[in-house]
Amino acid sequence: MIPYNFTFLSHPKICSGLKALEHIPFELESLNARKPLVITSARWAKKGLAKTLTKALYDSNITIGALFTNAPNYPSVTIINELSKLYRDRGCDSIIALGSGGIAHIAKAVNMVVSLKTDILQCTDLTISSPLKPLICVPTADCEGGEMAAVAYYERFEKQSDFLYPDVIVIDSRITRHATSQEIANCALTSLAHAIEACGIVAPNPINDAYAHTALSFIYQYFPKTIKKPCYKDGSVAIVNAAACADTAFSNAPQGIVHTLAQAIALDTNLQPGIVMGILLRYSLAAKLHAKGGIRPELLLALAGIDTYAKTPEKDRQKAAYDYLTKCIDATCNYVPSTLKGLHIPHYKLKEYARLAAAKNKQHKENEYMALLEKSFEGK
Amino acid sequence: MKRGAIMQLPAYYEFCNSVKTIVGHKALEQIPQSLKAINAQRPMIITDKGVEQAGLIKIVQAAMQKSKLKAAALFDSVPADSDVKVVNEVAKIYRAKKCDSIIAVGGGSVLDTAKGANILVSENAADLMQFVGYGNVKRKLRPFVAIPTTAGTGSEVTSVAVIANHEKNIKMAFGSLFLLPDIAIIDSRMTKTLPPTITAFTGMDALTHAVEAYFCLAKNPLSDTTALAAIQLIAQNLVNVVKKPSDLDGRLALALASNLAGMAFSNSMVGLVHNIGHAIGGVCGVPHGVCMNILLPYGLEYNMHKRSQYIGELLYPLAGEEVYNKTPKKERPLKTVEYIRKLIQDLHDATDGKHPRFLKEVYDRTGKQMIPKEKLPDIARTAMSDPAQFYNPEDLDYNDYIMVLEAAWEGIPLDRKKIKKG
Amino acid sequence: MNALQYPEIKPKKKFIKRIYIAVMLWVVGRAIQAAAKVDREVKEEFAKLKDNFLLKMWIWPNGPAMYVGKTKDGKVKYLGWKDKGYKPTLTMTIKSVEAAMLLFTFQEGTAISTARNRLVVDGDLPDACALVRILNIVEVYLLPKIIAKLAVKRYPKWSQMNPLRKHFGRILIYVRAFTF
Repeated sequence: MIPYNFTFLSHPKICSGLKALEHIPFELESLNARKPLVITSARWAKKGLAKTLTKALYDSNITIGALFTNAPNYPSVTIINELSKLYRDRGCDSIIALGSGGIAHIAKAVNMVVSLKTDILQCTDLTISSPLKPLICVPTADCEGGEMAAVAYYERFEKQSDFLYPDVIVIDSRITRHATSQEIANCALTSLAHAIEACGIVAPNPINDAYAHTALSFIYQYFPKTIKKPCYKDGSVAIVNAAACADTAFSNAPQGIVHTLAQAIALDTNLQPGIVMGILLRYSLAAKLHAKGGIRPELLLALAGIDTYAKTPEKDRQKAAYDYLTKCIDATCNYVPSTLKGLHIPHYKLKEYARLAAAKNKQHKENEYMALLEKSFEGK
Repeated sequence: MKRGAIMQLPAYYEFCNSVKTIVGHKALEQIPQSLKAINAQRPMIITDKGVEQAGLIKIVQAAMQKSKLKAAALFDSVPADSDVKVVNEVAKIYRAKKCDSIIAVGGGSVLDTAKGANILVSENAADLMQFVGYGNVKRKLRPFVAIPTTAGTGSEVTSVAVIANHEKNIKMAFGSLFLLPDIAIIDSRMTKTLPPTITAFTGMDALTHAVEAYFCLAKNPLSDTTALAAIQLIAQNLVNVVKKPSDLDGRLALALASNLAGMAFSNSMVGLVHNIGHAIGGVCGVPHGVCMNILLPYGLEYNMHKRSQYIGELLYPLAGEEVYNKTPKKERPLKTVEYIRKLIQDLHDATDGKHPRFLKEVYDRTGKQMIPKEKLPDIARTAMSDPAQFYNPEDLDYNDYIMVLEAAWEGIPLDRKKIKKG
Repeated sequence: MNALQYPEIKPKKKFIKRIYIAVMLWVVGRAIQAAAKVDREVKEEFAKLKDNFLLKMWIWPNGPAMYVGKTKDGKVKYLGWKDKGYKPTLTMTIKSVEAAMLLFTFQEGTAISTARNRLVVDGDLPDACALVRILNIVEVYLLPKIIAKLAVKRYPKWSQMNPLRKHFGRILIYVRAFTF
């Protein structure tokens, strides 16, 4: 038995379910904050989410310092600086990110600037050694991965720090039920890939496994129905819960081959990373099934529940887990092609992606990345 | 492919586990870099005489010495029951020695004392009373590292502290996420010398946390997965470690299980077992883990009519898949109770009869019975004033407490036909 | 960016919900006072509480609120909704108006509301246990069975509260609570 030897941290408090938004004032108060800067996009403002959030803060001591409704999806230095100035000018003491993707990363970047009192580009090289200002994430179901993790993406940079976790994650169906099927597919595939790669490592980490298993459970149980009907309340809440748990699992494990490759491809092509991860994951799992060590049989427990797991003979569990996972990925067939070729990625680019991935994440060699890319290109 | 629904999405839930946990046979060696990462250079070690005499503080200091880090102060006189006078004394020394962080090495009382002292030194206050209650500590406190030496109370991941004021005869309860330690270190060397009897009942304490977290009213997805992981680790390791105390892998597994169970119950609370257990502890002075151990099967029996599905699912981590498969679904809840009773019996045998199986079998060091039958009404009345009952699935009145206590005293299963179901 | 496009937003109030909650708090307060005179069990629970017992049940952060306490001669009195310098020994804080609505429209019983962290109990915790028992009895009296079953963990059977006691007590409590 390999002895335990790991470090684990999950910072955010999760508030999930009916009337979760109305808990925000109390949570802000317990973080000693009363004047948040709210950041969201025009899309969500148009859908009425900004109004829903504002109403949820009625009957409290919370004054919204500014409700910024034009956040772009790309966290540029310009927008980060503009919002940092707005934060300071209004005397805000906390930030609420209403939305996922770029909105959350803009919020994290602004938080760094206003807490560390320095320029965003200088933050990249700084080591954060104390908590930032309070940050509450209210995610929509178009998560791209990392919003609720200990990482921030801005411009072409990636910054990792324990202090980049949000303080509170508020998951409410009034907010999560507005994503499209395509976005749900992206979110679920990202969470699936992160969870599988986090608990697929050799060294055992039961705490991380608990988070990864929660994510897998929710995805398997709710994903097929939610992708057909994105406004299904329970489903969208469950998928965002899975994203939150998967983000924690991802933050506590080395980055996997699928994630690294997907990031490299997404940065170059502007494709959603989850879609790429879904394709790569399918072939990564197929390769793993036949490799030494194989797929962890405990994944079947998370996906299928105790009864099915206990009934399945030990020798069949890896294959059964693989089948369950493939079924999940197959549920996205209307929204995600089954090969990289289907995404119109030219073959000659593969070598560059493999090289970039190997430079970023030295856990795997360039030929390993290339092998996966080749398999995923035409599905052979 | 159908799925037996194990992952329930609650209508609403909250979960927070924001302690950085370092686990390993040499986890203590990471103290210096962990303290450096949170800007702490002058730690104060808080512990009790038992831990000090077991040589555990020397191990902690040796691990720190490797990176040339030294404790700026050491307090080793925390009593078995955390007391406000001691908290004030600790805070005084902390300030006098210009410390900037706390390393607490010990069980529940040491950790609670450290939490209380951290409030005083961080808020620059002289009186803890203003912080009593929920949510009255509103700021990040000074750096705090928790090193548990039992497996255990799980106090290294709970956001509450209970400190007694013996002069005023009150217990002050503090609840705030800011009370959580920054770092918890789970190192097998800290529980290596734990005697078999203490290993047994602290292990059962952790099991009770996980089991109650799994079926009480505030259960949620993350508390479920952490609880199941904890139960499996305890079921696989507890009896072995009691029989072979030098099994370091087993020790680490139990310490990790206690940590997982702590995460689970601090977010989904506990029920009847802790409710009555606290009362027995208060009236008869019986150690917490001993009470949990005896009452656990009764907590399951009492709530079975409301929580049979969840109790049935617990059979899997407790007994393994072979037993789980062989047992028809309807019989699994009772089988779970049977397995817990078997575990208690195995611990009783492994400790040469020292691990008590029922309340009448609890003796102190002089051989005196600690829970005389005449005390049961007192215990029942005290239990009625303990708030752990709020989270129990079924309601309890005085007669219900007496019924459970009498069965637990004799060591006979609860007559479930007599449970009032409303 | 034109910052004027994004003004400060101060919180408004949900008046109708606040009025409903205020009325429900008043009903609960008056009913506790009445039950303390009419029901033996409630009388016994209050007798065990300290003489300076004073409950504040309120919605954070701006009310409405309800105060119930023991007077100098040991009687249980509903003390109104205004804070007249009271020093509560037990405070039940409901975290928001919406949480209070869930409780007072019986979508969540007291136990479920507590389990979902919708409310916080501060102060003398043994008194909190007595109060929950008192509230359970009051809810059984005030509400028809079909609603009371949602509010309490265990609706009493005939053997625990005989129908005569329940119905007679109900009439007395309604009369006392709603007349002055």
